[in-house]
Amino acid sequence: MTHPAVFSAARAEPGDGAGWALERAAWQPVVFAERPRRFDLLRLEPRWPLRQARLVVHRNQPFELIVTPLKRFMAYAGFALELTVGPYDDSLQFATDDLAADAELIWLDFGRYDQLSEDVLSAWLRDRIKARREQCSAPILVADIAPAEDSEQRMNDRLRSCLDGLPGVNVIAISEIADELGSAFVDERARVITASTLSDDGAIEIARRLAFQWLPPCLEPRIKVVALDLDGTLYSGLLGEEGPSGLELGPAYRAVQEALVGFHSQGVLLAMVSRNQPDDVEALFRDRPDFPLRPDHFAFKSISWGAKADGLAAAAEALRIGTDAILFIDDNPGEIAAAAVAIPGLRCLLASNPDEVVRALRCYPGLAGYRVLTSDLLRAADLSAQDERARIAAQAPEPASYVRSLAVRLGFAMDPQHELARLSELSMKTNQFNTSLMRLSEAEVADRLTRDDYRTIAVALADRLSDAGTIAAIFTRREGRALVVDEIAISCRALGRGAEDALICAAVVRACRELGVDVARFVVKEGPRNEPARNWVSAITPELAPGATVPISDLAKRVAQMKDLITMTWT
Amino acid sequence: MEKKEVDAVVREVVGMVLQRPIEPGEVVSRDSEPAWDSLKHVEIVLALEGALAFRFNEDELSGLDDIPTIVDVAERHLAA
Repeated sequence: MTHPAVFSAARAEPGDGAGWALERAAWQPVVFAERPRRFDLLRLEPRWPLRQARLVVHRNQPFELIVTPLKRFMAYAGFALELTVGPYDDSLQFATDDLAADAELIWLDFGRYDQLSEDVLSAWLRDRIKARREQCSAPILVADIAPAEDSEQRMNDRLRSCLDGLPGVNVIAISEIADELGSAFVDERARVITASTLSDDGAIEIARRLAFQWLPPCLEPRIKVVALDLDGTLYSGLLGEEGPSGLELGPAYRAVQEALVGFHSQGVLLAMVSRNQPDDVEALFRDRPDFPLRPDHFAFKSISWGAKADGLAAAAEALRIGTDAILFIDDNPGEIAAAAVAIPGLRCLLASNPDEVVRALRCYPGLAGYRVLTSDLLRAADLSAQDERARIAAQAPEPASYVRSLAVRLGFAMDPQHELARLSELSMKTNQFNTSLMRLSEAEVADRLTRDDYRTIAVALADRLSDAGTIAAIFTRREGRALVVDEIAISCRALGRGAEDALICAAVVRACRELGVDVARFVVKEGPRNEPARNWVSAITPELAPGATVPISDLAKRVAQMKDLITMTWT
Repeated sequence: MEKKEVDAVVREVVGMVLQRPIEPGEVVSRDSEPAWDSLKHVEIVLALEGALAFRFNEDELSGLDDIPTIVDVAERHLAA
């Protein structure tokens, strides 16, 4: 069904949100093709705003055939790629001066080290990458050996184990692409000209995986919510006209739904945003038990005849995420255009056909390639308890009784190495309760965890309704006779349970005591969305000049006041 | 496909790889274009194969030094 408002948006010109969204949708058949063609990629020119991304490549073999497709795929992902490809260098001297890249790629032909044993090669590589790690804090991607027969596969396993534990270093599986393409990964014709046998299909698929799976975790937070239309997106047919029994699922739409169920199991939240009657939607799931998606898979539902942008905004608010963490999927270009105009920066996928949607979901930038952390798996259950918390808060006579009734438990860990990824994620991705927006990479957090004068605290939160997992990171260091609290980063879904004071003050007091100081100073940097964090610091230091120190006795008193309401334990 | 269509595709591909428009009839060769190095040459070959749906033979690759030669070889493949 096309509404007049959305139809007019579909005729928008390039140069505005609707135009950009529709142009990007026009790229889908090329970038999500089973085997994209270089000719088609060359013809694509992005006409929407792009963010800068900088990649440095250290190599001893050609990378140039990957460059053009990589830049096109990166443009679809929203980035203008600034690329520095270093000289051919078997010794990995890291000759480039560029230390400000967003990511670095080690691109080696391991065949050039055939004279070295596996032990010597892996030890040497670890040393070189460790040296680079000390020079720069950007994530480092190391391409494995491809294609990989038995001995190469053994070396790939050695590669992974020898680099394991180096913070912010990840081995990327080019070998998987070689396995998938088989003989099509190699083109012997090119060897005479370029000394490389990488085929066109191989180069293009490597470019796609770099742009859509391996680089996005270095550049931006993961998509947290996939918001879905129903008619024409999850099945064929119109629910309101044909009823549940008249709708076709078929293998292709079944595959779409199964892919979404898979994301749900990895902690990605699903939201339903549909123009339908609520009764019809209820009947749909009741009468179609063959649908892989079930009502419980959806963390949020907006079923109304209003603008879908309103439904998406409501989903963001209810699920406590920014609209930039949503992927909106709809089969109607007008709906895509209208939503893109109303919500600048909204990521959209036009569901033109289900086979393309399945291929897109397999590799969509911001969805694929991210490590699944415990906090991801806990997110849906934690959020689903929000309504109950709101009910309890409304009935509580005063804030203390609300907090007591939740039975909040805080678990603190000092310098926990096993939480490295989560600590970095909290620094990188929290916006509202983040005092200084330092955006610490894994390498930077790892460095802090080893320094004697630094203390980093991870805090987990649970209450009687759910377990939220690790929801706060507090980064501190000693400077003279004071503790400097460089950054406090708290996930916004942990807010509103009355725990912030106890959480922050207990962590800071403990860090002060361990470092032998008795005053603390909070670093604050103003950002577009971190007013809650700045307000908290102002409340702690209302009579002090900005940046002045706070005696830990004051902070300890706050902790003592909460001891009867909140259980706090250190591991 | 007619020769002038093949010529248009070849010019389009060479222009996209060398990142400059190639006018109809313009004389363009590996000798005249500093940017047309060995890696750009491979990229031109691969893009043309995708555009025209055939594969150049290995012994043809090094001789594809200018647009008329590329067009002639491509035409032979398309006619086969």
